[in-house]
Amino acid sequence: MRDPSESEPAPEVRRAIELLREWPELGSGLEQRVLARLRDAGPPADRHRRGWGLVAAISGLALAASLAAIAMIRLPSGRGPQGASEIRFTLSAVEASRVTLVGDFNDWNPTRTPLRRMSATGEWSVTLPLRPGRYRFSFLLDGRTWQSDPQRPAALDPDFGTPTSVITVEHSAL
Amino acid sequence: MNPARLLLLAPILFAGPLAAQDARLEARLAPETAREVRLLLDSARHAALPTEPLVQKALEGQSKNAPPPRIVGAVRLLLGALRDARLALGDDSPEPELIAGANALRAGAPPATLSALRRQRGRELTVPLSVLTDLVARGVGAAAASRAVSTMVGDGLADRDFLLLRTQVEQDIRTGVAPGSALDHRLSGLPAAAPPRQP
Repeated sequence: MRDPSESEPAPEVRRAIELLREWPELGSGLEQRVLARLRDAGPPADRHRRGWGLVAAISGLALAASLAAIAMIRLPSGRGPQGASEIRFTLSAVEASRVTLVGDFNDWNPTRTPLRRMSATGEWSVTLPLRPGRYRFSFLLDGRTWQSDPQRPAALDPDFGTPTSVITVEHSAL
Repeated sequence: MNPARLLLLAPILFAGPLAAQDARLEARLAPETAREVRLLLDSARHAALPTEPLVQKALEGQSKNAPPPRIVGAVRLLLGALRDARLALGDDSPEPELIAGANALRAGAPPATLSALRRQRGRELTVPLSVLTDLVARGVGAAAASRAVSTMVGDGLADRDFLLLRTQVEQDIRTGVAPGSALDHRLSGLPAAAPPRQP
């Protein structure tokens, strides 16, 4: 039997579905109603202009709705951390003056997630809310040296020749 | 074309090209690299394969200053693994399972193992496949990890059993036990002889 929580859509997908449900009800026979209105409207030239005006207006609405749906689907995982777990990343790097966490959860942005030095012994740390999933990541020391996480498994697809680790965040129900 | 008909097609006409764009790629990749990656994303979308792992792969390459051909090559390689996973796991395979399957294939699991697991287990294989990949990452051989996961799936074990096995094997490896021995030892402690049970 499938765990219901496993088949539930992600929050972003649910938001997109809700957005699409908010579309105005067009009802059946829309095409017939539109054509009837066009027949009743002025001379042919006007009819064309009005027809294309209607197309432009509703196409604009469609464009706006498409943009909104795409934007909502692409919200970064850090937002709306429903079902997310707080994951602590730590690294011992005595010599480093700056350490950042870079990975699938922050679009591999080398500056977005800095670690804080916790002690003079060179312990660095940051805690992130992560939803269930598998994430590849690396630490970046002083903006130039990539380092894997010794506490977590190595990524098996080091396509770019630098040390990379993997973290699997489990569903809390498991 | 009849304006009313065009009106009905408008969402489709606009949604296609817009969906093909990803501002992250345009902002961070060189135009020609972004164009090549976009083509691969279109190909993935056309095959109903997940695109986000491909985007992340491209961004990883950019972040690590990889040359453009290497970025495109890595994205293409991952797309191929996703396609192979779909072939092995079937058209109904959900996105997380496909991604886990692609990772397992890249870890060295044979496609036939994925197909066999699919036949053995009607429900999602995301957790067993992720555990297989993690075991290989910890140093267990791909063949041994594949056999272990196949045995567990055949015995009807639940996702939590796979996760427990992974945790125990990792603990043993940290204390100095050889990866293969740790797996054998922990496998023998599982309720494998028990009749298949529900998750």
